[in-house]
Amino acid sequence: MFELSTPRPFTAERQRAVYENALEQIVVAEEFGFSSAWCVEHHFLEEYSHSSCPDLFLTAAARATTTMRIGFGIATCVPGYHSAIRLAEKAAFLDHLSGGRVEFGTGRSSTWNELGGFGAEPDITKSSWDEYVRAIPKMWTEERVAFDGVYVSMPERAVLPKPYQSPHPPMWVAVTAPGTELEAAERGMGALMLSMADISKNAPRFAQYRERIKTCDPVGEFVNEQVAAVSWLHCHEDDALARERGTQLFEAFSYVAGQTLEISEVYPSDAYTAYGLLSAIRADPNAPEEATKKQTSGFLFGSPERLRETVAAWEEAGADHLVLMVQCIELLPQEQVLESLRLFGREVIPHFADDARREAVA
Amino acid sequence: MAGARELLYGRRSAADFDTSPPRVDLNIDDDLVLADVTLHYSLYELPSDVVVDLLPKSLHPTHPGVLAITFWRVPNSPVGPFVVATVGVACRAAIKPRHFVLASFTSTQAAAELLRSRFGCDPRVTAVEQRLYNDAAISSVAIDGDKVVEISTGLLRSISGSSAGLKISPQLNLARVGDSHQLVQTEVSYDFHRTQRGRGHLAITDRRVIGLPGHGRLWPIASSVASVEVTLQPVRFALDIDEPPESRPSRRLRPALSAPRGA
Repeated sequence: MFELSTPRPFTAERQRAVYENALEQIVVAEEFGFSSAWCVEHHFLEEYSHSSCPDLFLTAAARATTTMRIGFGIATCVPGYHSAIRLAEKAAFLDHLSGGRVEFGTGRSSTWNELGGFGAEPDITKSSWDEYVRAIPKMWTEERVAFDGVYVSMPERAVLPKPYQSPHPPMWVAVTAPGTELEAAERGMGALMLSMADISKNAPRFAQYRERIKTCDPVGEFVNEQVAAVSWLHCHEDDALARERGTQLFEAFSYVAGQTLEISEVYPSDAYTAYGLLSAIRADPNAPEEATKKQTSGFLFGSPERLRETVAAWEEAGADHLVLMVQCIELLPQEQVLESLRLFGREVIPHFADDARREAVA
Repeated sequence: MAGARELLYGRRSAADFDTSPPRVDLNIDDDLVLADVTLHYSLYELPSDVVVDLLPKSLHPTHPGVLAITFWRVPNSPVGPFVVATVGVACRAAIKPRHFVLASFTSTQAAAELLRSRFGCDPRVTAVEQRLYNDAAISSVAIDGDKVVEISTGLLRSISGSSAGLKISPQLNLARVGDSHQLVQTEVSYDFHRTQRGRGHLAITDRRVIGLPGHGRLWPIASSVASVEVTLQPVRFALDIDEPPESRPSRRLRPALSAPRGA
């Protein structure tokens, strides 16, 4: 997963290097067996994510690869950001340019940086997301559509192009707050779990998702029953070195993510009832020993041998995919990131290489 | 490791602060429950550059910067009724959300002494008031008869569900701990009975009184009024003023409690 985090100072060359390095990582990842590349949408998040136009980035990625699935999202389903029409158009357009490789991820944002910056009303984001994810598949599959909703309202028009994939790209929901995985299941959508680190805490949520989706009312033309767990990767033959580098990556991520303002911190709203990403990465202040505070069981930091065990543990917990972050604010030299991808591809992915188990995702 | 991280921290060092902050009484080991408190909590954006200039070197800014103004009207306490106002800026101790206190005010001398000893904050004793209306609340601080800060929150609407409990970050007060000056973290828990959210309007006649520079636009985020039971717990942690917790972890002021409390 690419956040396209960027270190200060934000020079033109440094910004360009972030994008170019990420594209190179995708090309190498495909070569070494990774199956998908996701790129998030974020706005105004200094350092943390300079990924305001993931559709453009992913178009470049699609043109540089041939088989890798292209994770378009998390597309923000909030009127102040995009109309539902524009999201449907962009995803379908990218689906053509990628030869039918788009995975469509949806979300609603969780930071005041973004919602406040666009003047969006936090109270309505869950409702607008719900309308968008029901309207977009119709825009993709029906020749002409008309809507008379609160957030999607339009006279009859043909939304063009229709996607390359038939009937349409698989649909996903970014899951941060507990319970959102059930909303994904209810709608027959995949759950992209921004779970970060702890396998045992995620396993029950995966199970509940599986149970709920059995009785879903899919918003699209088909049920996309898939669980993807977001975590971190750094692989090296020297286990201690890999863990050291990985810890530094995660600490950098924690620092840049920590400076954002989550909605729940500043804007009391029934639509945002829990701390989001930060609570998943924050240490427990009441833990007795420093070593036990951090939630790291699910990180893929270590030697190939260790990472085979970790991937197996995620699989045992019920994850279909691992969506892995590999860099943060260019902390690691590009060659170290690439070598990690190559080693993981050579030594770990083949152990999970049957049809049902080979999904490792960059 | 290639990319050296250029992290953003506050710019104020220990030498830039008050040389005689209040002393925290570490012998206080009991909880103090304040019932029927009316909380008026109002948040405004302010420019990140302003925040960086206000924060100690050990704390990170948020983006955007946030000014938090909090009024508690306490009808009953061991020191009688009082109103207290606190002005702080949102920050991060490592990645933990905190509010660094710029200024505080309270309506009675006894309340000021209570808060100094428990938390190390140093409220100025002056006229601090709060008035409630059907769908509005107005809270103010006046000095020598002149109103210097006033928050008015109107169009209040009730919030239900779990968000009715506002997420209020612990405050950090510059205080004396033993022989050193440190940032002492307040330990407060809240039991919310009713919460309403509205749009806040902030009027400040002299920003310097609340520790702000004269420039920088304030942009309203949200303003809430809540009926709440507040529990003041003994302080547990203190931070260095100059060294961030990444390099010098927060100091535990007393042994870990047998019954864990919230973060």
